[in-house]
Amino acid sequence: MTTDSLQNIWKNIDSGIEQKPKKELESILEKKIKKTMNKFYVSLGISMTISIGFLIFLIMAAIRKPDDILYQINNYLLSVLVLFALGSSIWSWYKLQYNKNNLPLKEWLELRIKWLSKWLYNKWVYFLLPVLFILTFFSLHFYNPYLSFTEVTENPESLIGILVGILVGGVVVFFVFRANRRSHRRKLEYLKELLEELCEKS
Amino acid sequence: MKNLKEEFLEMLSGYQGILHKVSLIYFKNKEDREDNFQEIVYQLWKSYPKLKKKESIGSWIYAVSINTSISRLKKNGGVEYREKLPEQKHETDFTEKLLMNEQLRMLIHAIHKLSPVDKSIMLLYLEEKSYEEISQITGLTVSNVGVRINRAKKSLKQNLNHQNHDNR
Repeated sequence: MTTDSLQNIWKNIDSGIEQKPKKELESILEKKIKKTMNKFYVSLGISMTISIGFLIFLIMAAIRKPDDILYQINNYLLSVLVLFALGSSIWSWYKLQYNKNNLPLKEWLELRIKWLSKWLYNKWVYFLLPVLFILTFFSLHFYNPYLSFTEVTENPESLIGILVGILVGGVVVFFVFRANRRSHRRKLEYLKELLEELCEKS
Repeated sequence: MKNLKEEFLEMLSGYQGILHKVSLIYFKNKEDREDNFQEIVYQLWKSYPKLKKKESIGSWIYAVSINTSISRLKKNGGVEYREKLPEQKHETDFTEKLLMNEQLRMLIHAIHKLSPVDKSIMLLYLEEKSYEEISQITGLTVSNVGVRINRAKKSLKQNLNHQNHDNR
């Protein structure tokens, strides 16, 4: 088989392909739209429910301790960060989905790499995640309507609880965060390899 | 006046062969091909309202199909498709008929061994697209397209020779 005859052999494929009727194509499209939207709404719904539930808890807990300024600052600051994190994650998800698949392969690869790198190596995450974790931990740990922020820390058992809680929670958050990023990093490496292969000269 | 969806489906009916061919070269398994076909239909639909030059529909479909297929692949050697299990070996879609053509079967198997990038370049070459069109779809310069085609053809020929050698 010579390379010149390859195109002639390939032509046989056109007569062998079974064309799907228009009705079937319509059904494929409708099912796919429904499936994608459901997936989006489920993940959005879960994030929104958790975030709104948490925000309600933070505000209610702060209101229940009107004299404890430190606890109120902690909770209100955390509320702002939760809203910011929710907004930015929805925005990132939207940008990753809206990947302009109609671009030429090279441009499309460059764009995907750019977005994925931006998302993966965003320095805000490294600041935001520990702060969110510590503030959340404090909000839960100091949730005692009868004791103020400073009174709780006077108890030695409470201090041990803070240290153990931060340590255990920190390890859990670290591993979940790392596992989530690992698959994205692999995808990024793969895209970079493809771009390199596409751009390399003879 | 036709609505956008009807217009899209009508256009898609005429060009669906491209979707089948791109899925065929990127995925060995029938289920993966079918999933990929559906994903391409959805991606085409998403970008259809933004399609300005209706005369370059073919190039647009190739670009979306190739990009979508590549985005579904994973890093493990460039292939994500599920390896065929023995009981899955018997194809039930139209490829069963296609693979009865010995030369075409060998060609498709040789293409499967190419890298994802070479697969796209080889497909466009086999589809007799001009260098300009290939350049438009891949984003390579016209002069580089020729180099890449020659290299992909060389790899393909090697794969075919290996197959011939194995069959003896």
